[in-house]
Order: sequence, then structure tokens, then C-alpha cells
Amino acid sequence: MKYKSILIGLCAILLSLSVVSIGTSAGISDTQAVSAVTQFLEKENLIVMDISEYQINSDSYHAIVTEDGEFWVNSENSKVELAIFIPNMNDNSDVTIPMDEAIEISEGYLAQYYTDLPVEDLKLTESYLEQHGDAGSEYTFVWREIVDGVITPNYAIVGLNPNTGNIIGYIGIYRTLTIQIDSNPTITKDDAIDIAQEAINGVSISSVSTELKIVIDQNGEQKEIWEVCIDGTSEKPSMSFVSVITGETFPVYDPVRYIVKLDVDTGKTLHVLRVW
Amino acid sequence: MEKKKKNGVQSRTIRVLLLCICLLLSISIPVGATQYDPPRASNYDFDYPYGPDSTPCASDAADHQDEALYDGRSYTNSAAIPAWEKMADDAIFSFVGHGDNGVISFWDGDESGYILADYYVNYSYPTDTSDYKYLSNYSTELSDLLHAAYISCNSANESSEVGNLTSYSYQKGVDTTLGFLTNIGAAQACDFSWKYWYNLAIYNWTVSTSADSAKYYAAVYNGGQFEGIQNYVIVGNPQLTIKPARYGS
Repeated sequence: MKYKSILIGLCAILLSLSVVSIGTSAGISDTQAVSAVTQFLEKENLIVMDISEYQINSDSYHAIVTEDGEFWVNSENSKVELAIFIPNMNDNSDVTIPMDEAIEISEGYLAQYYTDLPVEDLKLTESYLEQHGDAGSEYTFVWREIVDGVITPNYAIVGLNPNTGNIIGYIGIYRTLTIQIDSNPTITKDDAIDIAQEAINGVSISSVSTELKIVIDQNGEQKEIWEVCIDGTSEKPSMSFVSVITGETFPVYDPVRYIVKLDVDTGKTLHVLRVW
Repeated sequence: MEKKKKNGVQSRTIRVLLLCICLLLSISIPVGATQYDPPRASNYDFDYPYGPDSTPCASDAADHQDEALYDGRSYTNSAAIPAWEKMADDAIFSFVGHGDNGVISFWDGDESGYILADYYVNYSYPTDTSDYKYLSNYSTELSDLLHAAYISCNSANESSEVGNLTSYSYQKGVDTTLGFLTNIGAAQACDFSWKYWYNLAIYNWTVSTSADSAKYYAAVYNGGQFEGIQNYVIVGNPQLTIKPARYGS
């Protein structure tokens, strides 16, 4: 009976150890990551040139490089969350596809690959026609999920060749929300702006904007915050030019952007970041 | 005596001719820049007193360039003039820090310094420091530079006072340059730099593909926020690769 108890105890310890082991090394193998890319590209006999691993906050990735490009597979959910297509960075010097058509093509791509959310549940928040000089042009579109005025961590980005309509790049992030969305937090928008402006100095402020956001920290925990973006210029010139021709002095004031992150319940300043 | 005088005139003529030839040669042949083996890659980042800092972009880039068999060197808080002096002997020049139209800003721990594009545009000079140089101060070309990356705000924009850093570098002989058309976020700039040099050095991708991949990398690292990093510009050959390690042509 005594030996039986010891045996059961040992088994329990071994079992718990193995569970811990699975918990800490959770994720997919290289082979599974390559398989996810094969499925994503719908292409047999993938030639893999490199496999490396990346950690972004609480997410880990297998980055698979093939002759087609670079594909990041989320090690937890086996989804390709980032894709860069190499051959599509050619023939992009002309812009033959209008932006609305480019958006339509990109939304079609999302419907096929960003399957966690229907496109209708996403809001197109940014659209660019980028001019890369001798490297041609590129459309880039950003969609975000916004629920009751609160921006969630879920977003998708599509880059498109404006001449061929081929997809150049894709990012698709979806994380299940684990906290309740609060669209009317204790700290109001005006409170947030006041607190944020007090947290910075030396800036001639030209504009202030706010966003309610759910962010994920390095431990994978979700938190709702106020994000206050303050734009302006440095109060003092960073440098001055004197024109030898006219004798005129030209002071240069640096553009300044701060992002201040605040706790929505207490107004506590969580992070003050000078962006540029 | 007459003959002797004639010989004297002849030898003086020859001396003058030789002097002229020497003068002409010194004007037409640029002073040769030193080409090191392995080719040198100089990388600059800064811990600015007014923020945001751009370390450790330089050492990260240098590590990648070492992998591509360059002599990757990193300089944190360098003055502008030493960087400018080294530039002609560099195969690669990479800068991550503050900048504006036609200028990149240095900080040596005590004072600011600048490398500016062109003083012939409308001859102007900074008043707050003596630590500045124009690319147009070079009597010779920058043709040994294979690639210059100015990862700073507005580095590809024209200034009516001091010109355009990216295009002027190209005109001075840099094979291919990279700059930005807008303000760029500091976090995105550092992430872009890391991935850009990784792509170039490890994958041997072109500057065009490397920059585009780095753009998405910077976005995914920052919650989908580009903060201007998507506005990169390449002047020169977008298909340029940096391997094998070499100087520019």
C-alpha cells in the first residue's frame, strides 16, 4: 500500500512536470510551420531557404524564408500572420490601378486569408499610395477592428502593387478579447488630454488626438488604455541657418510627437513615448 | 653662350610644361580614397539629450554587416566631422537618428553637429556649432560608397537652403541611397534598421525588397503603426545587393 502511494505520487509528479514542459515550450515545430506556409501559398514542394524565430511581446513566430518571400507563422495558432512576397516588388513603377479598385482587391484578399473576422467588421483606417523613388510605388491599407469606439488589438494590413494588383505584403493579427470593453471609462477624454499634456514639456502643441485602445503587454495580458497623441514642435529651435546671400536667419524647430498611455480607471500615466 | 641660353630656355619650358601637367593631373585625378579589406561599413546612432535615442541600431547593423564579410563598425554619439571624414573611405554608411530636409543631426555628448547636403543651393550655414560639413565640401566624389542609408526624418526631402541629402549623395557617386519622405517614429526606425540590414546581409535581398520587408517588420513590432516608416525612398539601383562585400563603383 505504501509502495503504491509512492508510485502514484511519482506518477503525479512526472505528469505535472510534463504538463509544465508542454506549457513552457508550447508551439509548433519547424515542420508544422513550413506546412502552414505550404497551405497558405497553396504550393507544393516549397523550397525553404531559412527558418528563424522571433519574439514580439508575448507572441513567438517561425519566420520561413522561401523563394517566394518571407512568411511568419504564429507558433501558438499556426497562422501565417505576416507575408512578404519578393517577386511582386517588380513592375511597380506605374500606377495603373485606382485606389478604390486596389482597396477592393485587398478586401478580397482579406476575405480569403484573414478569416477570423469578416471584412465588414473591420474599418479601413489608413490608406497610402507610397512613392519609393527608384523602387516604384506601393499601395498600403490598414484595417482595424473598432468595437463601441474602442480599438482592439485586431488589425490587418495589405500592400499592393499599383500596376499589377499583386499582393506585396500582408499582416493579419487576431487575438480573442479576454477583457470587457468599456467605452465610457472613469477617466474621460478631457481628463486624459489634461493628464497627458502635463506629462510632457518643451513642446509648442499644435494638435492632440485620443484613442481608447485595448493593448496586450509582454505577459499576454490585455488592458484598456487611453492613448493620447500630442503633435507640435520644439519650443526652442534645434538649429539655425544663416544665409550668406541674404543674411537672413532661419531657425529650425523640430517636429515633435508624443504618445502618452494612461490607465482608463485611475488616469495613471503608464508610458510617455517621444515618437520623433 | 647662345646655345647655353637656348638650353636654359628649353629646360625652363620643360619645367613649366611638367608643372602644368602635374597641375592638370592633380585636378583631373581625384585624390584616391582608401579602400580597406574587408570593406568598411560605418554605422551611427545616438543617445540624444532631448530624446528619443536610437541605440543600439548601429551595433546591430554592424553585426549583420560583419556576417556579410564587411568590417562593420558602430559609433554611438559621434561628432559630425569625423563621420564625414570617414565617409569617403566607407563602403557602407548608415545613420539612425534625427534629421530634417537636407540634414542629419549628430550629437557627440556635448554639442550638436550636422552633415548637410549642398551649400551651393543657397549658401547657408548652421550658427549653433562648428561641427558641420556639407557633402559638397568633398572635392572628390563619394563613388566608393556602395550604399548610404539615412534612417531619419525627411532625409529624402529637398531643402531650399541645403538641398536633398539622398539625391545629392547619389549625384556625388554613392551607388544607391535610402531616405525617408516624412517624419518617422524612433521605435519604427530602429526596427526598420535591424531588419533592413538583416535582409541585406543574411538573405542577400535587394535594397528594394529589404526595405519593404523592413517596413512590415517595423509595423508588426509596433501594433500595426507605421509612423512614417512606409515612406522610404530609394535613389539609384533598387536591385542592388550588398553581397559580396565590396566598395561602390
